[in-house]
Amino acid sequence: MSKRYKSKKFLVKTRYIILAVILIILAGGLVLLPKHIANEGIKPELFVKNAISTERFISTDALADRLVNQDPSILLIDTRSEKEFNKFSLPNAINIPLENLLDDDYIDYLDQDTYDVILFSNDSFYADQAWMIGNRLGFKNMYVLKGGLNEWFHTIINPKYPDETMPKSAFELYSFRKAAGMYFGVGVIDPNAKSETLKKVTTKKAPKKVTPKPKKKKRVPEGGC
Amino acid sequence: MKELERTKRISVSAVLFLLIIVIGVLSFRKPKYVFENNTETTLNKIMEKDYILTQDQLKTIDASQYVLVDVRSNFEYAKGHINNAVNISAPQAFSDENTDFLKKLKNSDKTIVIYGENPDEADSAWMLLYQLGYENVKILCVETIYQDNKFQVKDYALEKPSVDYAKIMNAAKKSSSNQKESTKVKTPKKEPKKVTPKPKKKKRVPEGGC
Repeated sequence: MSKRYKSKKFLVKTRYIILAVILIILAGGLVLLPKHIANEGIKPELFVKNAISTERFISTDALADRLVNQDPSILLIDTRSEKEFNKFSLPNAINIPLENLLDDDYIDYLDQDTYDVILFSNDSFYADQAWMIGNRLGFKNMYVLKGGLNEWFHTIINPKYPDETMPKSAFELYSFRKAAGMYFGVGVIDPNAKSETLKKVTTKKAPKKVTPKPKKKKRVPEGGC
Repeated sequence: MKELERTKRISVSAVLFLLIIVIGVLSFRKPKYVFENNTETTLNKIMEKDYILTQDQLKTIDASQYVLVDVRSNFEYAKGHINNAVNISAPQAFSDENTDFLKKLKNSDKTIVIYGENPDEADSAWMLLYQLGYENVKILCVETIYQDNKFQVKDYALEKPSVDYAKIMNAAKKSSSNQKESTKVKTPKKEPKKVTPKPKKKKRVPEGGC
């Protein structure tokens, strides 16, 4: 009986100390918890979902169409090196070498929701890598030029004349590409016919979203003599 | 008596406190997949370019040192694939089976060599794995096509300009300036684009009310 009483007395006496010790031990236990790695950007599952989708790719034809129509909502970004950029690039493109992608100077170009950012490089490899990083960070409105500048030169600048057995659409596409190439400064052949087909095709292909272009109307290629 | 009641209250609150902590610890769920490398390390890795293997380089590695992973669809894989390649198509990357398989490889000293239809396709898989913390992953720089009833693997010139762009454009400019003046096409003026930084999300101020 006295023993019980003694232990009780001891408990009462040291109760605050005991409670404090328990809390301190628990607090120490928090340190032992598995280290939680902060996940920068989106979750891996979403990353894969976005990466699988081919929505990010924009064809050279679609881009040419938007450029010819002077779509103000596109922002072209050249991910190649500065040297290559100075030699040649698409009109109005901005150079952001891949290695400088995350620099503070450039991040505002990528992380915004005003423009459709179109990334391109010689191929689509670097551009796609840039896109992946943007994707990870949750940037919106980013696109990749499918095939890059190589594809651009094979389709828009130097399109292949379709075989005679090919459907009419192939010929329409060819004349569109030829006309677009003319707009981008490549040789002019039979300007009258081309400018006509250009109008026809572009109106057909024009995306619904394209913004009006009231002021600059005169600038549309004036190939005629 | 008063003393005893106080002790009781303290012990009740202590128990409650413990309970909250225990529940918190138990309900803490670790996400299944977490990116281990952040974008900056990834970007640095990209610029190193040591993750790209050509076919010749692959031949110099002993076959027991690497595992080939085919990231094309099951259908394409069934038509033909490189010998000994394992098929993990991107949409199935997170299936339990594949996760186990990849985790085993992660801890082994084998290299995971990814290939797809072209390096672009392999690249998305590589980016994913690298960011998930796989250091021993490489891309096989080939394009694979199924042609003439045969599965073919070709070397791929990565990011190599197929033509000299500047030369072509200059030649084109010259030839067009030789033609009539009127055929000249105005090149769009270079005007710097204005970029407005994304506005930070602000808490909405309650509307209305006079």
